[in-house]
Amino acid sequence: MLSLQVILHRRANLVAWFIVGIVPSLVFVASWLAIMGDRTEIQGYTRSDFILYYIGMTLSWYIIGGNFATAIGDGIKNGTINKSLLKPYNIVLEHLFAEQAWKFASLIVTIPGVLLFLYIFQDYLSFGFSLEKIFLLILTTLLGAIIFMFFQAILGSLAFWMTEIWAPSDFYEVILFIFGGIVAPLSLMPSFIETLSYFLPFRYIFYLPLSILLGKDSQPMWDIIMQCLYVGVLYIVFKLVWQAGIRRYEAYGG
Amino acid sequence: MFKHLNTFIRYTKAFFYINLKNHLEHKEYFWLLFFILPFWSLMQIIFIETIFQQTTSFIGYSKYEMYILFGTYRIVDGFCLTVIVPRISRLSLLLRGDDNQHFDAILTKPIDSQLFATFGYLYLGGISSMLVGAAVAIYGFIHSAISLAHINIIMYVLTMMLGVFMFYIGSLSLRILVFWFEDLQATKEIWDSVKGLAHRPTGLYQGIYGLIINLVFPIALMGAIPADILLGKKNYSMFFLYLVIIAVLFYLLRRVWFLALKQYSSFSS
Repeated sequence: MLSLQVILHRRANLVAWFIVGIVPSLVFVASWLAIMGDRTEIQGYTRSDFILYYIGMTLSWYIIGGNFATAIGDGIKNGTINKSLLKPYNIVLEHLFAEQAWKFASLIVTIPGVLLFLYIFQDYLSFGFSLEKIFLLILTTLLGAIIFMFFQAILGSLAFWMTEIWAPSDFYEVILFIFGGIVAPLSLMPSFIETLSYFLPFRYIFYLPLSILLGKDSQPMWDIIMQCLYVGVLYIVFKLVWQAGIRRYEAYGG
Repeated sequence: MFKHLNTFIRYTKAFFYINLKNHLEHKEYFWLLFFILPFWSLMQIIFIETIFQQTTSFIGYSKYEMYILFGTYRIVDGFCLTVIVPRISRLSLLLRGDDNQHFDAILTKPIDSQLFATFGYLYLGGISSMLVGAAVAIYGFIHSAISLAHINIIMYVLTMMLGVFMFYIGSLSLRILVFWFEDLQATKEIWDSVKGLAHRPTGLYQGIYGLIINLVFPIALMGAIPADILLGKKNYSMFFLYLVIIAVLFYLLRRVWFLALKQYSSFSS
């Protein structure tokens, strides 16, 4: 609630972030619609699918995504985590919840834009929901958000070893954008990228929930098992990294 | 006029040496960014490869013409990243007094405040982005097998220079809002999103959006328009129209800068 109050105090930023989120999506949709021309579909993706995919990607960022690795990294670098280390919970949770407030406020601001987006493209849209699909969508979104959270936490923890974490963060973002299907649906990408994506966790963050939303996932149960597996692996990696970092942390500043 | 030019050159030289010393002190960050920045190009290259698996022409552009377009955008963007962004990105810090300089101090200097507050720092690591852009454009040019007239090449380079001015105008137009909205944080990210419109063909934007992006506030000057001129998709005489547009926009920005100065009240000193 405290974070939400701070965010609402700086409302202009919410509008700014909304523009940041919506402009690239609009350009991607316009590009794909131009490519489609008179065709009704491209490898199973209709106009409606492309529109929903990129709208879904924009919205997913406010549900799954965010960025709190920098905040963790800054806390370690400046020594402001010193006080947090005495508390009975991990500092990562502190930043995670602060980020949820930002995401929630941004999501609210984004909804009118998304409705506008849907209105502009209303002639192309068609979608249907079933209870099973909704359940799978919620489950995969939740697991995707946890995978994303662990990546952010691991990246932030690198500040125990590096004074600046933007280099690994940038590297991670490019990889996520490509292998996470943010640039384009993975099934339309060059085959080596699609194949490689099966061996990496990034497709399970944003791409899987969107595939389920669009009815493109043929093996949801297997993918959910993979998500759970990655949650477990990343949790262990985070614990190891955090403990190793704390051992070498000298708590200067703060 | 010559007096201002002389001041500008002396100022640029002085800051170039200061920045060079700074880079030599922090070599590891210089090299990290030098190698990480071009990595972002990979995303667009993969997008180009993805769309050309589905089509042979994207709004009148072949795959290799798209490489020329994207390479052009990267050259302009990389140059601006080296010369314009490092200083302009500190404007909000200057105003809030968080930087090692303060805007109040800038106002007391015998040099134009806009020039001093928005220009002077260099980030030489951005050169890698330009190099990647040049490599991508050359790759596209070699494979597209087009023949170019000298005039198209000259006008291409001149239009890219207008693209640099457009970057400055667009970037500062957003950054300057911090004079009125002191807590506004995402101006960099907005500009990063908006400038991306320049690496798609001009024909993608139709109607009112096309008019704005391609003519009124020609963001497309940072990539698509120079590429159009190089490839003969636009007549090179368009350069003169864009020259007038950029001059008008620059004049308007200058007026807004003076308005911003009137609005400014020292935050903390």
